[in-house]
Parts: sequence; C-alpha cells; structure tokens
Amino acid sequence: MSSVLDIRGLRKNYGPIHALKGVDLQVNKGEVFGFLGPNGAGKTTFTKCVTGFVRPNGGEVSVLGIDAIEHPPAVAPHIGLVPDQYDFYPNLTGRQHLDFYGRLQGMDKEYRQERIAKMLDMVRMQERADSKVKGYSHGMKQRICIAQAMLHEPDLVFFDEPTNGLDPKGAYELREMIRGLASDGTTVFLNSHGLHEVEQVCERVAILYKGEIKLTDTVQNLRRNVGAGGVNRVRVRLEKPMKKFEATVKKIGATEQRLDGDQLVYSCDADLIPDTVAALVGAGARITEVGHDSTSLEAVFLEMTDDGETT
Amino acid sequence: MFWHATKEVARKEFLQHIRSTRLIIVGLLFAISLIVTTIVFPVALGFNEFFEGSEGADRASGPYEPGGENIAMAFFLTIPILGGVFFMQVLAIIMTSDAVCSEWHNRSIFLLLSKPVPRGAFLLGKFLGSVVPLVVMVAVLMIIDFLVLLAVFPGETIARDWGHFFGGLGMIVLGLTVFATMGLFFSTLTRSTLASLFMTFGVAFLALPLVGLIGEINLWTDQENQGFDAVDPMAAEYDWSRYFNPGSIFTKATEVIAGDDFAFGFSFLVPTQAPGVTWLSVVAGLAFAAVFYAGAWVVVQTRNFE
Repeated sequence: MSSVLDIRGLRKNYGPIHALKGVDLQVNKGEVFGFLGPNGAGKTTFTKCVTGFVRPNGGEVSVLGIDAIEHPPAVAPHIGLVPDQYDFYPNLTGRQHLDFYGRLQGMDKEYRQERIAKMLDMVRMQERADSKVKGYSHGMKQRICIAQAMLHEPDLVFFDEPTNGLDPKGAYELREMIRGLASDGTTVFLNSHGLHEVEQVCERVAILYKGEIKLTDTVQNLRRNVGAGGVNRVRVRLEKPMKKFEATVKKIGATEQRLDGDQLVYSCDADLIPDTVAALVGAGARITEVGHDSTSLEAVFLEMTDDGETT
Repeated sequence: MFWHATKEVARKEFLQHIRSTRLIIVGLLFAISLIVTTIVFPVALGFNEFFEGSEGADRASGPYEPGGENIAMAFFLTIPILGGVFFMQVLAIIMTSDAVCSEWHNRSIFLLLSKPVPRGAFLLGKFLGSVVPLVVMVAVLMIIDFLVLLAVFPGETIARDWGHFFGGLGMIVLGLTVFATMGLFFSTLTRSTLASLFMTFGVAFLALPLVGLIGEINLWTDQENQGFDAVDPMAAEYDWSRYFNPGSIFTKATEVIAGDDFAFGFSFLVPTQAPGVTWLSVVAGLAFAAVFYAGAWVVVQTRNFE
C-alpha cells in the first residue's frame, strides 16, 4: 500500500526539552489514522512540524513524496487542516472566508463556487454563510473550519481535536463525514482525545508518549491482542457491591480495581478472568453480569502511557 | 504561486481594512485636519485677502522664487504637512504594527499558512494590503487640498509648482512606507499588538530621532562657543545624523513643497532640522524601508508559529 505521509526520525527540541525524539510514522493512502497521546506528549508539536508551522531539528517529512519541511507551500494543495486552535477574520462572512481560501488554493471561479456551495451544504451552514463570522458560535466556526479544510478536495486531511465545540449531533455527523472521506479515498489523520471516537472511525492508531511512538497497530489487532492474553478490562455487576471485593481480585493478580456504582471494574490478563470471578463468588459476591469493558483502546492507552495519565 | 498568493493576501487585507471602521475614521480625521488648517483657518483670519494684490500674488515665476512666492499658499501648505507629519507617521504604524502579530495572536495564521502561501508572499501581501489604501488615501486628500488651496489663495501656478508638489508628495509616500515597514518589522517579533505598537513608537519617535539629534547637539554647542553666524548648520558634520531620523523625510518633503524659506525642522518628539541634501534624504528613506522589510522577511521565514 502506498504511503501518503512518511515521517522518519522527526526530532524537535525546545532547549533541553525533547518534544519529539525521532518519530517514525507512515500513513497509507485512504486510511483513517488515529493519533493518540496524553497532554504534553508532543501531538501538537508533531502536527505543526508536519504542516510546516514549526521547523523540526531533524528528520524527514514527506507528503506524497514532497518534502514538507523544505517546501510547505508545495504540500499545501494536497492537505487540509482543521487545527485545534484557530480563528477567522471577524469582519468577513463564512462564504467570504471559503472564497478567500479557495482563491489561495488557485481554484477557478466556477469550481470554487460549486465547491463552496457543496461544503456549506455538507456542514449545514448555508443559512448563516453570509453573516459576519464575529457573530458565529464556536460550533459554527468549527463547521466553517471543516469546510475550508475539505474545500479543495485534498488527499490528506489533518483533524486536530475536530469535535471540540460540536454538539453530539455535530460530532456524530463529523464521524460520518470522516468515514465518507475515507470511502472516497481521502486519507485522514485524526488527532483526538476521544478514545471512543478514534476507536469508532480509525483503522490504525499510534500512541505518542513523551515524544516517542509507543505503539502503532490496527484497532482490530489491538482488540484481538486484548482478547488473547493482553490486558483486559473486566466489569462485574454485583448485587451488593462491597469494598472488600477490590482486595479479592487484587489477590488473584488484578490491577486498577475500583468500584464504579454497582460494578467492580478491574484489569487483568485474559487467562485470569475465570479465577477472579471464582474468587469473587468464593468471597460471597452475588454476580449478576460479567463483561469486557467496552473501551478496550483505553486499556491499551493506559498500559502504554504507564503513569496512567489521561488526555 | 508567490505573486498569486501575495495578490490574494493583499486583496483580503484591503477588504478587511475597508470593511473596518478604522480606516474610515482616520481618513475623516485627516481630511478634517487638512481642511481646517489649510482652508478654514487661513480664510477665517483673512490671509487670502491680506496677500491679494501684493507682489507675491502677481508673481509669474512660480511660488518658490525669492520675492515672488505665493507666500500664503506656500506657508499654509506647510501647516498640514507639519501638522499631518506626526499623524501620518502614527497612521502608517497603526496600519501595519499588527499585520503579522494579530494573525498569530488570533490564530488565523494557522488557516492561512496551511494554504499554498509562501511566507514571503504572506508578508508582502500583508504589507501591500495595509500600505496601498493608506497611501492612496493620503495622496488623494492632499491633491484635493492642493487644488482647493490654489483656488482660494492668489497667485498663478506653473508646471514647476506641480513638480515640487508631486516631488514632495512622493517623499511623503516614501516616508509612510518607512514607518509602515517599521511597524511591519516589529509585528513579526511578538504575538502582542500592544508590544509591537510600543516597540515601533519607541524606535520611530524616540530612539532613531535621538540618533538624529547628535549632529544637532554638536551644532548647538558650536554655535554657543563660536557664535551663531560662525558655523554653517548644513555642514556635513552637523547634517549627517539628520538622515538617521526617519521622520526627517517628511521634514524634507515640506521643504520641497513649500521652498527653503518655509522649511521647518520639525519632528514631533525630537526636533531636528530638515537634512541638507534631498536625494540623500530619499536614499536614507529607501534604506530604512529596505532594512526593516528585510528584517521582517528574515523573522517570518525562520519563525516557528506555535
């Protein structure tokens, strides 16, 4: 499979602090790639290095074979960017913004008008497109931002925390939009705090921690590994939840055990699950339900970022 | 790609300026100050009647010939220039001192530079989009004012009058460009518009004029020691530093328009005389503009926008 984004040995230092310590990463054409990491892991620095805002101290970044460090403007027609922090020009309207960005992309008038209409329709902003941006809510700005990123039909779209500021319906629509992009052959790079979101839409994920890639794999493989001897998160619903049951499963080898309402949640190896359940029964627990924690990616994430820091 | 991006950024900047109230307000203030100082004030005091029928009113050799000047017109034309010098300098700085830092501070730069926009084109587009409307506004208002002055005050106008006027206007445009590049340069050094504004004001109205004052201080000292008439104030040893005051190009422009007799060595905070050589004054202005623009270009090319 041909790679759209190819990164080798990417390094960025801020004085003595090594924000990126030689990151290697390949993103293939047409895939939805999830990029995870706790706060301060270097995700934003990574995205800014790749999109040309920050000059790295070393390494290579190639987008469709073009050197993105030396020639960011040459890469720009191939990428779309939804940054995590941005703003618009308050006195221009949403449509004027899209027109401006379309002009910068060198789109001719007819094609530009056609795409602007299509994008406004896609992000449901037709009615407010001719109002000045200074009157927009954060969610409306986010919609226009998504529209400008996809206006010129890029090969690769970077989404940096794209659901921030969107209501649940907007977030759902965005996920559907991302799936649609992928089915059209567009490559998506999704930098998100939402593990659930990443798990839902991404085919492959990388976990960045303290400036290093700790893991790169398909979501499918991660799930499989979890089920085959990897770390499991188990939820046991109890008729009478009692604090002593935390100690019971800990004795068997479980970790991160805690009571969550009427459920006991803990992590353990897959082959220990029957023993923990038996121990609980032996300790007098009346179990009404046993299940895997549905956020299996979260388990992997916590395992990889070993201090358990969450995003 | 470079020129296309420059054009589009400049176009957007221009649209933003004319859609905001800032340019309209300063344009109105400038127009009012021109009208009041050159027409309302002199007519109210009867200066036009005072010069009617005088030798100056009958001159045919142009307003700048000794003994044959259109005194009133020449004198009052210096007033808006002198009064407007500081205003125009401030205006040029205000138009550009937030050019880059406001994009960075507001984070609109992250959308703009994710497009095929070379950083050099971004800088040039921002500069042109801010300076062109300013220059057009100042030039148009001054030409209108000059025409009104010619109608109100006595005396004939010959081709050389127009030559002087447009020569001086060209120098004023250059002066505006100098202050605009200064604002542009400092806007690349910080994310804060206020910090950029303070730095530009400090350098434009204090630091560089103080350098410009060195020759003037030597002149005053020598005049004190050797007698007022014993020293030539335009001698190179006194004149050289005046070129380091970027405001001196405006002072020289008043001299070009109004004639030597009406040249006022004036800069708002730190006064210095007009420099002695016109072409050197123009070269100094071009050098200032080139140095500050080159500085801004280097910073923008190497800056990490985070």
